[in-house]
Amino acid sequence: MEAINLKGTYDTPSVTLDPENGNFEISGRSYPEDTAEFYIPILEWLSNYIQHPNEHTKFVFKLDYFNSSSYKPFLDMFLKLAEAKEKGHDVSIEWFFKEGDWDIKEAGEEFSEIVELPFEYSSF
Amino acid sequence: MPEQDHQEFNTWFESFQANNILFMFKGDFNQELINSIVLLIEGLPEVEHEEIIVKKRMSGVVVECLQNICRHGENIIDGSELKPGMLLLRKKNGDYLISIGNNVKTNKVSKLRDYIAKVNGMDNTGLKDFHKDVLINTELFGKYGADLGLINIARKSNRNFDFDFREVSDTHSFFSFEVSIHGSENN
Repeated sequence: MEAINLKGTYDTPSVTLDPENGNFEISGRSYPEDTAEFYIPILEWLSNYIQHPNEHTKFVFKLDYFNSSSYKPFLDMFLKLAEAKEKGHDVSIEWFFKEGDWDIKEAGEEFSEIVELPFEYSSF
Repeated sequence: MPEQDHQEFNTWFESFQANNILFMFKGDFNQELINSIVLLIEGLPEVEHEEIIVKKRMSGVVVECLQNICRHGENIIDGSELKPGMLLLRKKNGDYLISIGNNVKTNKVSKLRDYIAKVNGMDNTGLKDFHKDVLINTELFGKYGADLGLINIARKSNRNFDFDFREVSDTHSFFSFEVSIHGSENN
């Protein structure tokens, strides 16, 4: 599968989706003007990926800030990854938050209550 | 500049000083401007030393409110795509007050008022559950943004927000919304 490598901007995150090298990461800020335009290609890529995922997928979320419109595409990404896990693949989420930014940590915890995926938390 | 203008300008400055105004913008909002405003606010000398949670809550509230103006604000002068509004940031008793104002269609006021009152009436657990419920049950890329946005603002401000609508024409009302974020010393 062709990798996705997007460089972050002030309001969109850096995105790496690279199965060959085992790198899956979203980092930076996410409050695009048009959330659909930004996330639809990423969600489509993930839908294809979970058809034949790697044996192990560790997906890193390392965000400074994300707005309310980014919650739903994130949830959709987790639901797709949970589908792969349900089929027996090893999938986990590494959720980073800036030291002291308890709101971002709490957001991760709340996602983990909705989806059947293991979340690990680390500060940076 | 005529003498009277200088005097007026000086009066504004003194009023801003007296009211601890840290930042003010009145004009047409767009995404690029929001980026610049967030960068400016986070870099203000009064804000820079604050704990990360305070800074993130402030920029989070500013982004939610201003993106909301870009999506739902109304231009009553010429009906163009411009999204006029006003943002005022001030410090009062160690807390940051973020005031946002823009015009909305009066026929949307009662729905907005009900929704804000509903969110305002919830305790922290209620807000958390409501957030989860809205998140799960709204469709992807549907019109859920403003709903989750207000819940997020309520949570970031510990439900310290207030609002008002005033009719400004036959069809439009001015919506003013004030959110208070605890400064580090009050956390």
